[in-house]
Amino acid sequence: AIVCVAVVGRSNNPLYLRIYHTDTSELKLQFIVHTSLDIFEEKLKESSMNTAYLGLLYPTEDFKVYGYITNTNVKLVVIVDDSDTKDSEMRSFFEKFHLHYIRATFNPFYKIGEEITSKKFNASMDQLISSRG
Amino acid sequence: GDPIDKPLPRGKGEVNLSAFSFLFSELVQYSQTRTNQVTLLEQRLSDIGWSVGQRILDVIVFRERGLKRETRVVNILSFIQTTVWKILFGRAADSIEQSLEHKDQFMIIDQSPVTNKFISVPKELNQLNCAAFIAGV
Repeated sequence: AIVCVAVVGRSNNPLYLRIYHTDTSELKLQFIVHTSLDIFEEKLKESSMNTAYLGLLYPTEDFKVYGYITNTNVKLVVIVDDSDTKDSEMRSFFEKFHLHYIRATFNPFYKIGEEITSKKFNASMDQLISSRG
Repeated sequence: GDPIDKPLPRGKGEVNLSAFSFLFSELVQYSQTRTNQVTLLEQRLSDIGWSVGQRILDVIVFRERGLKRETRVVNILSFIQTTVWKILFGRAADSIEQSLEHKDQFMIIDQSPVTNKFISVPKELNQLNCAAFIAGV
């Protein structure tokens, strides 16, 4: 099941973090997201890496961390606690995640690069998570 | 599927020229408040264009390239000249040139920018080029 979704900005500044049915502390999940940023950098150094979906970034003892980067260098991070998550599932999840992010940027009052506080965005992410589990 | 899952609407892909021209003329007049300086006015138009461009880039890449990202300068430039221009203005830009003095500077040429179509610049502001808006994008 998906435990956490996060959006990180171009300068590695946190824009959004949401946690779902887990007892793990928010701090620990924030830390996991933060650590994944290093892996983003590593993966992006390979000049052949020209896809948005970056796949499994790294496993921790309880979780697996997946990453995705947009053409505007905004990073999407998803943490799952399953051991049987399929790559294709994650790909399509990230695509929808990206779509919701784009919708959030359409708001002229939202300054890109700042924290996302949109209720609609929250609602769509909740919907997306619950439909996937 | 549920309404949340619907893909981004493509719409007709066309906007009424009069509607755009009206909106743009208001934009120029709004940017003109409290300034008679050409550079400041152009900068304001460029800033507005900047915030449009930030949003439009994500959408266009998502629609046109799906999960692929352009990582080479040449690719992204030609992407802007053709795809982005087509989506914004209905046709590709006329050409791209690389500056001879500065190798990292490129120029996208558009012979008839839609922003200047209905604008005649008064004598006092004769250096003004409203296509600064496009430059911002």
